[in-house]
Amino acid sequence: MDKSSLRSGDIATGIVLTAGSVAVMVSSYKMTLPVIAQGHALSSSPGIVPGILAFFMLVMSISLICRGRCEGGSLRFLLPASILAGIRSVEGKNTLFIFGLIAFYIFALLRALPYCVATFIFLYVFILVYYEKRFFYVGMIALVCSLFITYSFGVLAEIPLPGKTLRFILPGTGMTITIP
Amino acid sequence: MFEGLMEFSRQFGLLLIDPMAIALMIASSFLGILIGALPGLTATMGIALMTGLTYSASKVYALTILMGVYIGAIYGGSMSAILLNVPGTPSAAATALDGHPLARKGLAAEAIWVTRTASVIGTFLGIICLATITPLITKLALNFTSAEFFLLAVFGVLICGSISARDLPIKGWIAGLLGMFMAMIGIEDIHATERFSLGMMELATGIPLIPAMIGFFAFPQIVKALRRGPTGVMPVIEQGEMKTSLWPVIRKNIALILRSTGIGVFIGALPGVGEDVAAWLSYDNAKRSCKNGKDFGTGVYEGAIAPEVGNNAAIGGAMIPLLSLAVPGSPPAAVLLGALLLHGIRPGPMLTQEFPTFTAEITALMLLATIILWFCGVVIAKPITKVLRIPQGILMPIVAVLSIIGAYALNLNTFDLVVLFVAGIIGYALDEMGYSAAPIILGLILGGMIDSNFRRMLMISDGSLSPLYSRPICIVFLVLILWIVLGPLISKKLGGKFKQIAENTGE
Repeated sequence: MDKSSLRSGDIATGIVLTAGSVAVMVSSYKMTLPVIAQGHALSSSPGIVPGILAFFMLVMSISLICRGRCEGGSLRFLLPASILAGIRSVEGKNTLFIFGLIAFYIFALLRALPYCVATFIFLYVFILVYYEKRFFYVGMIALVCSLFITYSFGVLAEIPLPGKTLRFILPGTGMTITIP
Repeated sequence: MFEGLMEFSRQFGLLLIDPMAIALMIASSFLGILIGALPGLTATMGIALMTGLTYSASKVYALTILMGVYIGAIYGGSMSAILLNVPGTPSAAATALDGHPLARKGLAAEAIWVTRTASVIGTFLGIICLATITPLITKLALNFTSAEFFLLAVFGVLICGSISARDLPIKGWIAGLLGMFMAMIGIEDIHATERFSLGMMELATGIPLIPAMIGFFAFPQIVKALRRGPTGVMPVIEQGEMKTSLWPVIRKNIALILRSTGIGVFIGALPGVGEDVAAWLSYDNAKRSCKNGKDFGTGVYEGAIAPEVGNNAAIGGAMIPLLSLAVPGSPPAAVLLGALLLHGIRPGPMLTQEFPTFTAEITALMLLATIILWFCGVVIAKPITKVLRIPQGILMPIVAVLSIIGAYALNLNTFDLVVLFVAGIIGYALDEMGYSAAPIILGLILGGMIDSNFRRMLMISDGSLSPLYSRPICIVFLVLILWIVLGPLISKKLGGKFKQIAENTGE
């Protein structure tokens, strides 16, 4: 990130942190009231350390904003057009895609499918997008990796894996198949 | 001293007759070297991942794996630095300056041999410092009261913030404060009051450390590696055969090795500072002190030896405050502290009372890891060229999958995955704006210590702050804290004044 973007980011971070610090200071103050009402010393209040931390954070956030302003930072990057341009850039698109794919894996695939299957789908899509567009070859890589990870961690190391466990009986044999 | 040596010998003997421990150490050393060698994977990330994955293992075996990965990864970074000119870990960045030019001169095998030898010597000397200095500091720390512990923790977070900040020192301190604030979430120790948990049951016990650590260290690396789109295979320099023995080079540079060890141990012992700073300072010192200093950067052995000795000696250095004061000396040591706490070991001044053999155990593990590192390094030196050709597009999704297992395996709680994901997003955003994850994690670990010791001190002194400036060790810490905070301002002002005087006098 170039210096002016960094300073612009500093102003935005400073504003968020200032707001957060004020909120923590208010909450910390509220925490001290019941302690005093119960007759305990103010010094033992659970809000005292967070309050002090929030105070220092407030000072540093304001300093960050001032420095950002002095060194040419601005909040123009928060304008809708700038945000859209950032999202449409290659880096923006990839960042969103990677976080989106990880979120889909954690919050959708692992909740609905067995670990092995969810991991295969995740690896397949990820490797297909970021390595090779050869569907069968990538499929083999994803399959081997997901089976290896499931077997080595889930079976050999006995580490409980997230995801649903599928159990079904093989027709005609009565054998129970379990997919972790 | 003699008892300590006997206990160390006993622990080392026990390890040697345990085939499982040896096998795990070999496997984890290989894994560590791979983690260190592969660009994008760091020692800290490797230990964070393995902490989650080894949770169900016994304490000894879990620590065997973690120490193997730690020592292996710090060394492994030099391989990619030499062969790819891309440091595998931040601590190997200085090694690339002379290691890669050596490889381009056709001396890749020699450069790898020299860095391996330097790493093993550095780690070994660091272990000696660990074994001799830790008991002394532990004895001193037995006199610490709440005031000293409070100031020590504040000093740790501040110095880590100052040195690890890539942009402005204030950003390092803000990161430290953020970590400390995160540590305030949940039920506090003294009145059992729930703080900042927003009514969420899952946050009542605080932010889970391991998922947060994995999120902060692993996710930003995954995104940074792939955000510019698919990456091809990086050009790797092929290794030839070693033509001559390089022991004379090592013998000639004994003084340099000892100096770099001193720097490495000292920097490693500073809370949260770490192996990368140790490597850079050792390199800088070597450049100034060696006769061929002007040739540094063109491919000289001294330029590869100094940073490798420095960053590996920092491992022993980082373990000194970790074991004696419960304040980690480097980011990987911070993660290791989390792992120790998970396995029920509470480092600090009481360690010698609660776990009398633990320092000897860890020292023996480190020595075993160092010996095995030498052999693993020899075995992996040739095939590493093939491993380094693994594209990031395959490696990073696997890291993501392992991160998720590591974060989940600890509590089998899906909320931990939410923490992992949120920490990953925040970690990436902060990383982009020049904030380092190390002070956040150090703040998260030491926040509880800061809170409880500050309040305990106030309760004992009837609300007075006098213990902070009336005890000698506290005064030392206060001076150090003021130096960290005001030092940059004073030097800037003085620098400006000197410049003005020079301009006025026409010099």
